[in-house]
Amino acid sequence: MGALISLVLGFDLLSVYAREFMGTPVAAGSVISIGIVGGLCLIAMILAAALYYVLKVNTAPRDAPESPDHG
Amino acid sequence: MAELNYPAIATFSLFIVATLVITAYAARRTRSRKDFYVAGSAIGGIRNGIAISGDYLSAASFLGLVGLFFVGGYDTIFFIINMILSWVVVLLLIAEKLRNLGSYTFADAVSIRLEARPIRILAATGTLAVAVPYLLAQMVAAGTLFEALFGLSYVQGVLVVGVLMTVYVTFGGMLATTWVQIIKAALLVGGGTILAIGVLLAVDFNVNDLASQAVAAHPQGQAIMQPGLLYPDIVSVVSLSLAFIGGTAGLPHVLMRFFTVPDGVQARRSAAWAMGIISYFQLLVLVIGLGAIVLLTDNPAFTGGGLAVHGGSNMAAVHLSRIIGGNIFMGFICAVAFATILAVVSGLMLSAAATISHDLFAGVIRKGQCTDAEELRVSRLTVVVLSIVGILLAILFEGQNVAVLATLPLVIAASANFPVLFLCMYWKGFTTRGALYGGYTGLLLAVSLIILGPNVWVNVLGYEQPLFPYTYPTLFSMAACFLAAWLFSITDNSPRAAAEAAAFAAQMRRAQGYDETYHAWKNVYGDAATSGKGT
Repeated sequence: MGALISLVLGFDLLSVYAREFMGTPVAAGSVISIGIVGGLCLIAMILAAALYYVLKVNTAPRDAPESPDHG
Repeated sequence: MAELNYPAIATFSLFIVATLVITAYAARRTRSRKDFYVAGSAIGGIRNGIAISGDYLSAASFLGLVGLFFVGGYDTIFFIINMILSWVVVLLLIAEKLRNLGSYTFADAVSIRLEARPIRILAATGTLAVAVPYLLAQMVAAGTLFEALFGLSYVQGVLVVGVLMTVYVTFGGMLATTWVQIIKAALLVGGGTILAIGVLLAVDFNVNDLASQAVAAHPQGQAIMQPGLLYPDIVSVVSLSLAFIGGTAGLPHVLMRFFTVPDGVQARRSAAWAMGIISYFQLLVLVIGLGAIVLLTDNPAFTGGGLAVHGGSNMAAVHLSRIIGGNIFMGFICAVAFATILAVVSGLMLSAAATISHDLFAGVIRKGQCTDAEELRVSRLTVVVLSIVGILLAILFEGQNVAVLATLPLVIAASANFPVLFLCMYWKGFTTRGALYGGYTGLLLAVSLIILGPNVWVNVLGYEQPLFPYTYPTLFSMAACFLAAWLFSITDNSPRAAAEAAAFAAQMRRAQGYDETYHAWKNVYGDAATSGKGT
């Protein structure tokens, strides 16, 4: 979670302080910028991390409570 | 009188008929307060996820974001990234624990180990501070849209929304509201998909070609692919990020939806589905936004030149739909936009009614000593009263600039509700005193700074310069809330604070699905859990 928030804040910082770089086209003949592609990659990473988390927790075994009568 | 849009009327009429039939069905199944508030906690994770996406994707997420991209290009991606990230926060930190701790409102979860009465008053204040302006903004938008599309007056539009919302919520409770959200989400995502495919068809599915044409058409040229057109400074960008990251996890009508599922596992599943649908839709917005730039800029049929779209930039998606699919498709999109507003106001109304009847009436006034039937009666009465107040306020605000009201909910939710909920769940040293000082500090600061900021001070009150320069004050108000909550918690040496810290371990166990929910937990995981095999 912390890593994802850091990545997004890093993207924010680059977008504000490295505008020229983030606005550079990704390839010759393309108008799509590094920032747009970076943003889309960030979205893909966020979704992948969420999917990984859901698959992991929904399949992981859980410790049993200390006693079935607990609570 | 505006020209009647028959496709829009037909689509919207179908939506109304379908939702009223569902409401009649739901009314027969809504007998207890649990049925009314949370549909008996019997909604499945996937259905609830779709309903949450329906609740979350307001007209602003569709018409507003397309309009924003049309004008500002790149910076819209800040909204999209943060909106998606906010759902990771909900998924990882909030959904499952909230479901296991609470029953009907998020105040239930916070007041488990903190003092119930002052906490419920704080939560109710936070809920109403979010719901009322949000409701008002949606109803004013509905009146304006109705006037433009259906040939009726603004007041008639507001009345239609107000009456339908009252019928859905009063008779059908959460079950009807859930189905309204599901149908609306399906229509919105379906409409958005068709619109995006239409745009892509126009460029033979060549996204690079679409982007090149957009850059060539837009008055700002290549600058739409660069940051800085809308949010030029770091404080604005980070404040916007925090408003989404914390705000989504503090919106009461969204949080309430996690109580409609049977357990924490389904709550997590709901959040994951909601996140998937919302992410997909936001990616469609990027394509639709590029298409709007290509097909609308300087188009004399829809603009007065350049980006001056008839009806404002928020109408970009509507005009685009006419280019893509003619009058019939535009009518469909308009009806979807109207259904979107109707679904969102229903969810807001239910959360507002729940906080008044459950938190204030049952929890504070009657100190928990009230019957199921009494609370249900008060809930329904509250819906009717709030609807009348909402209708009157919306009529009073006709023609007013209510854009600021759309900013308030996320900022307040991020600056008051989310920090209190988060700290209560994760910090042993969090006390009632810290919650109250933190919550009220965040709430008051958020409202004050928005009033002193450009949206109200300049756009509404007409002053030349704002006293506070940023539209989103979340960086300051959220930080102030956390700071006050921390400071007043660590300096709280009362016996009550010690008792609250001692109760944290039990709260954690309950949040993880043990304790009272053990048997439900065992039903989910079965014997495999105790043998360590899992499922």
